[in-house]
This record gives sequence, C-alpha cells and structure tokens, in this order.
Amino acid sequence: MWTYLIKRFFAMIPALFLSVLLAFLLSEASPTDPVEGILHSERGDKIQNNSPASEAQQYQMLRHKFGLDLPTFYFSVSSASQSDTLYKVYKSTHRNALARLSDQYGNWTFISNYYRSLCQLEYLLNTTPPDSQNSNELISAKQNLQALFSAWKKEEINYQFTALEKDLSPLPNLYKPLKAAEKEYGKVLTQASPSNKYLPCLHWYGFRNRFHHWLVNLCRGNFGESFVERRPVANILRECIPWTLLLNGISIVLAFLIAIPTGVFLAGKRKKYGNNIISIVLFLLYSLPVFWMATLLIIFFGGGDFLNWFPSSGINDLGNEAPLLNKILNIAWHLVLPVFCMTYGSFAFISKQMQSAMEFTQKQDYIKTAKAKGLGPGSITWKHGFKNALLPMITLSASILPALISGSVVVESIFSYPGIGQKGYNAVLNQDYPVIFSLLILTAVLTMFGNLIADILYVISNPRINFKQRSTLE
Amino acid sequence: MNKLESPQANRNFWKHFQKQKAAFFAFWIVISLVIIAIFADVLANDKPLLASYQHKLYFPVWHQYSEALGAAKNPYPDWKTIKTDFAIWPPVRYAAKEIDLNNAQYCAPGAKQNIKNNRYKHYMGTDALGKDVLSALIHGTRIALCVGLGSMIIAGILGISLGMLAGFFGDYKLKISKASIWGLCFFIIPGFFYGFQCRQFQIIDAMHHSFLAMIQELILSLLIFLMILVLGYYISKTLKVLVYFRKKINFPLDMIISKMIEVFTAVPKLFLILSVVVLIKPSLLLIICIIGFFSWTEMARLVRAEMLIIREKEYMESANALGYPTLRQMFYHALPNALGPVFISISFGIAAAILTESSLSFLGIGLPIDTLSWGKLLSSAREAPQAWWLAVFPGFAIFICVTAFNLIGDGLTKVMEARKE
Repeated sequence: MWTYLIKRFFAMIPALFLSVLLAFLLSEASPTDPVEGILHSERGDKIQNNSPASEAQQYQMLRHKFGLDLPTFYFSVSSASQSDTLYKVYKSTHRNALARLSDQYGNWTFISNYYRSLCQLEYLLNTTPPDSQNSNELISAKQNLQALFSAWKKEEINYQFTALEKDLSPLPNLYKPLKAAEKEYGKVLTQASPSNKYLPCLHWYGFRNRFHHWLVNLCRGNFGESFVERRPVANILRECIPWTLLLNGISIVLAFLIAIPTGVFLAGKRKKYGNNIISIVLFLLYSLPVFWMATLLIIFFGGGDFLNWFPSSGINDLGNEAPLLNKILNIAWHLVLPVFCMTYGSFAFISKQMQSAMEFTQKQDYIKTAKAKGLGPGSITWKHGFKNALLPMITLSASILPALISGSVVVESIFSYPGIGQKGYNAVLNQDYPVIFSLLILTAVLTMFGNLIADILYVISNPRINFKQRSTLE
Repeated sequence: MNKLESPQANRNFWKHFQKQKAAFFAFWIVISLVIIAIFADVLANDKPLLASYQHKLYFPVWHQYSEALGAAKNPYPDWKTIKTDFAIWPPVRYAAKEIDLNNAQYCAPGAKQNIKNNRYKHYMGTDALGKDVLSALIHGTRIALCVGLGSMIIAGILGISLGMLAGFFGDYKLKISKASIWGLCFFIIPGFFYGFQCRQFQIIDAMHHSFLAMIQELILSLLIFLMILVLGYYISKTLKVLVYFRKKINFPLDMIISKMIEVFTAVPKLFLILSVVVLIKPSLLLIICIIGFFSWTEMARLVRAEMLIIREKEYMESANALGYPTLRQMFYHALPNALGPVFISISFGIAAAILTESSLSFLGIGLPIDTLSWGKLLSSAREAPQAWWLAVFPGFAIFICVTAFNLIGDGLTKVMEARKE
C-alpha cells in the first residue's frame, strides 16, 4: 500500500506543477498594472498633494513589496533588440513604449540613452518651482512629457516634441535638456538596426525571479498579499473557507442522503408509473440552471412582490453578541435557499448514477446466485446489490468537488454569501491575481487529493482489488 | 468494410433513435429552435415582411439583409409611424434592441400597455428601457445555438485529435529517434521566437483591433512555429550519423495528454473561464473559443478509452499487417469506430456550453454590452425583483434548450447501449 501511495503522490507532482504554471501564466497575461490600481485607490482615499518624486518612490516600494521588480521567469528568450533589464523600468506604460521602440529600431543602447534624457528632463521639470509666469506652461509640459513617455510611433513622438518645444521655449534651463533629448531621439532614428529583431537571445536570470519566489512562498504556505484588500490572502481564505465548507458540506451530505435511496428505488421497480415520473423529474432537475432557480427563489420567496419567507442575502444579521442558539438558527435560516440551490442539481446527478450502478450490479452473476439460493428481495437488494453499487459512488464523490465550486461561484454571488466563490468572483472582477491563483491552486490540490483519497477508499472497500493490481492497472 | 456496412447501420441507428420517445421529441424541439434562430428576423422585427406604401411594394425585412451586406442604402422610412396601404407584419412587431419609450420601466405582460392596438402588444412584457422580452428571446436563440455549436466544434477538434493520439499510440507505440527528440526540443525555442516573440506586437495590436484579427495573427504565428519545427525535424535527421542519436525511444504521449486532462478537470471550469474572460475585450467569438478550449477534456477521455479498445481489435491488426500507413490506420480504420461516444458527449457538451455562457452573461462578464443573450436578460431581473417575467421567460428558454440537448444525449446513450447488445 505504501509504495502505491508514494507512487501516486509523485505522479501528482507534474499535474500540480502544470496547474501552478497555468495559474501563473494567467497572471502574466493581465494587461493591467496592479500597483497603479493600488496607488489610484489610495489617492482616492486621502486627498493629499504628493510630489511626483515621492509618488515614484512609493511606486517602487510597492513594486518591490509585491516582487514585481524582478524578472518573470528563470530565463527569457527575446530578440537581441530588446533589453534584458527592461523589467527594472518601473512604470508599465514606459516599459511598453520602450519595448515597442526597441522592436522598431533595434538599438537598445541609444534607446536607453533617449529614455535617460527624458527622465533627466522629467526630474528637472519636477524640481523647477512654478511661479506666476510659467505655471501653465509647466503643467502642460508635464502632461506632454508623460504622453511622450508612453509614445512609440514616429508621428506621435514628433508631435509631442513640438508641443514640448512650444511649452518650454520661455524656459532656457529646461529647453536645453529637451533639445538634448531630441538629439538622442535623432540618434535612435539614424542608428536604427531593425534586423536585430530577428536575432534570438537567451537571458538567464537565475533564482532571483518572480516565479521562483512565488513558488517558494507557495510551498511555505504563503499565498501572497491581495492587491485590493492589502492583507495576506491566507487570512482572506481563512475567513471564507469555513462558510463554503459549511454550504458545500451540507449540500453534499443532503444530496447523497436523498439520492442514494432514490437511485435504489428507481433501479428496483422497473416499468412502473411512479418510477417514470421520478425519472423525468430528476432529468428536469438536472437541466435546471442554478442561476435561474436562485433568481426565481429570491423573487418568489426572498421578499420581492411575493412571499417574504427567507432572507435573500448575507449569512447572519444578528451580530456577534447574540446568543449562540439564536445565531445558529439565524444562520440556518439564511442557508435554506443557497443549500437548496446547491443541492438539487447534484442530487439529480447522483441518483442517476446510483440508479445505473444498481442496474449494473443486478445483472451480475452473484445476484443470480443469491436469487438461486432463495434469498428474499430485501436481502438481495441491500446486502448483495447495494453494497457493490456504492463503490462507484466513492469515485463520484471526489470528482464532484470542482463542479460544486463552480456552482458555488454562481450561488454565492447571487445570495452574497461570504464564501470563496463570491470572493473569487470579486477577485476576478478586480483582477486581484494573488487571490485568483490561490483559489485555482487550492481547488486543484483539493481535487487531486480528493481523487487520491477516493482511490484509497475504493481499494479498501473493494476486496477484489488490491493496491498492487491497481498500480499495474495504471 | 466500413463503407459496405454504413447505410444499414445508419438506418438501424435512426430506427433505434425514433424509439426513444423523449429524445426524439427533444430532437424536434432542437430543430424548431434552429428554425427560430435562422428566421429570428422574420419572427420578430420592427419592419413589415411585405408592405405597400404609396402604391409601391416593399420587402423591408429582406432589405435589411442587403443593407447589412452593403448592397443597398437605407431609403426606407420608419415603418411604424407612416401609414401604409397594407402590410404583413412579423408575429412580434419589435426588433431585439428596439426601445419602446411608451412602455419603459418594466411593463408586465398582463398589465395595461400603452400601445396603438392589440397587435403591438408586448406578449412577455418589457424591461427597464422598454425592450420587448419576447423579441429578445427570439434573437437570443441565435447566440445560444452559436455558442453551443461553435464551442463544441472547437472542443471536438481538440478533444478528438488529442484523445485519438493518446489512445492510438499509448505510452509505448510511438517511437522517436533520439535525434528527432533533441532536434525538436532544440527547435522549439527558435520556433517560439520567430512565431510568437517577434510578432508579439502585431498580435497585441490585432487583439486591440478585433478578436478575429487576433485569431488570424495567431494562426499565422502557429504556422511559422510548426514550419520551423518541421524544418528542425528534417535537419535533426543528419544527426543520425552518430550511433547515440540512432536509438529509438518511447514517447509517452498518453501520459502527457492524460496529465493535461487531469489538470483541466481538477480546476473548476467556470472559475477558470471567468478568470480568462476578464483579460480580453468581450466578444461572442472569444466566449465560443474559450468555452470550447476548456471543454475538450470529456471528449478526449471518451475517444481515448474507445481507441484503447479499438487498437486491440482484429481489423486494426489486419490493417497493420497489410502495411497501411499509420495515418490511414488512424483516420480511416480507427477513428470512425470511435466516434459513437463523441456524439453523446457533443450533445451534453452543447447543453453545458449554453449553461456556461448563460452563467457568464448572468454574472455580467463575457459578451459585449450590445449583444442580447438569454443570460443577460435574466440578469436584468436581479435589479428588479418585482419584474418576474424577466426571470421566468428567459430562464425557461435556457431550461428548454438545455433539457432538449441533454435528452438527446441521454437518448443517444441508450441507443448505443441497445446497439451493443
């Protein structure tokens, strides 16, 4: 058994690594800059006039904190025109423009000189004290310079340069660096070697990269920090997971409790009127969209114009001081509708599976033997058939988990239930990648371990198969 | 052998299928849904089908198509305000996105409506802006069927080819010389570089332009990538002068594909699709591609399982003994016999895809704002709990459609079982 377990465990590692890589690639594809989002929301929080220099400092600090100032992966293959230190440029718009420029002209040394001259100009612009005469020009020059930073098309850059010249012509100490920057840009144009673009170049960054840091942190159980809520993801998950476990646990247990007898009943009495009706109802329940059911329940039972029997959102409206019993009753009252929505689909699915498993066992030879021995129908169904039909249910219970989490995304966000489904949905909307990863990886790990446990249970409960056979079967 | 048998087999199949009453009924529901989708403009429109205006005959609905194709300009008046000699109107006199300001703010189907006469009735009520719900439902059929069929075509291509490769070759049948493996591994890097890295800005620009343009660029990139790999494969053959590179080793194709299936099934699908969809500009084609891309696993698993059985059959052995090339064995002898379960999985898959799209639209993600789908209509009921008709009718449409495809899947399963016995 142990060799089998160890073998299975190691077989899980590539799949786990693949899922981690998938989640990481997703974050890399994100077009938004999380740091900009954070700074933006902070600016909204406290209205104070930060100087641009301190803002840049803050920007760099945040980037360092989230590890965004590191290269992405262990190595990178890029064209010889691109710089291998581009990730050090801290603003995403600047990075993008520089990458485009080097893609067009292929001479990084001149482009970096040009960028440096622009930075010099920015520094001078920011340190020049505005007075009554030049304040308007300074403001417009700052704006034009920002546009110049993120421009890469030739006409755009020329346009911004002429605009800047117009702004800065009354200020000789700023006009000179502007001219210098223009000269640098001219050099970029004249010294262009676009063929560099087609020269591949391999850069090795070593272990100081984002993926490695992220992986190491993940192995230590550190899921990172949420971009939006600014606190560790582990804490967020700790708050949400119990609620989701409660919801999913209740609905799984309920579904199995009702579905298994239903399945046995359906398999037992063939070709009867009631049997057909139950089959049809089950089939309809299986196809009933969860979000429709939830909306209808809220409209008709959650206080629209109709009945107001159940609360339509939240989980607990009594507060923490309320007596325990009242709190439990209140939570149970809130749980009725979500649990119903989560349960009926899996109930229909499980009873169908149970039915077919029962029908399969009834065709087996040992049932014929039992009948020939003269056992009663109850003994045949429950002692010989039922026990064997339960085996596929074990595998089923493990594989149902991802579907349940998908379902709880919808149900939880409709009922504003404070579980991981709703958190995940909000994280997706806000592009809060640390939370999205953690959820993706958590569910992948949970499902894989669930499959493992189901396999072990399968072997334990089925004396016909032992671990040796099972490992050779795979 | 296949060709001789197939007409008879088809007839048998059809007979068996007709015996499945529920599935057969569902089949007709699907046919009528397809008809509704095709003729949506004729069933619900703000123009008459045929009208006589100032003693001249017009075909306004057909004119709409030629307008869309750019063949005709729009000289036609607003048909609802002018007085025609006579006109044949569609059953529902509202276009999908038409705003009826007289009946805005959730007009109930039974309540008194502010309309010219009874023929202009909103049979299923209106939403906040005064859009007709029935018309939106009819036009939403198109989106639902497009998503269902389109995503299953993509999932089918991916799932069948990957499942076939995994099942046909297994872990031990595909033997590659070391030279080829080294060559391919080495040429992946330049392939990726020239295919994708060099063209990254073209792809990004195309992405901002439209999804279709992005697909074109991506296909071009993929072609470059594959061409470089093929080049690498032939170049690496020269390595065979060395003895070390001549040795053939097993390529564990089955293991790799099975691991991929495992990963894709371990992650909750809806959540994965959600986190991908928010990254890109919303569009119908994108939704179709993403749903298709994430639902190939079921089909791949089924085809793989079938293939594992088929490759042990005698006719495969004889095909092999006759010396047919591997590709012919795969596509001509093995694949047609493995397709049975695929059809079952396709009909269940269409139902699942429609459900996924509706869930996404319901959550407010995925389709662009001006596309009307059933899920979107249903989500507008969340803002107005008193407007029950906004929840009941679109939900019912989704339910009918999903049930019909599920019933067909169920019926096909039973037919397959009956034919096996």
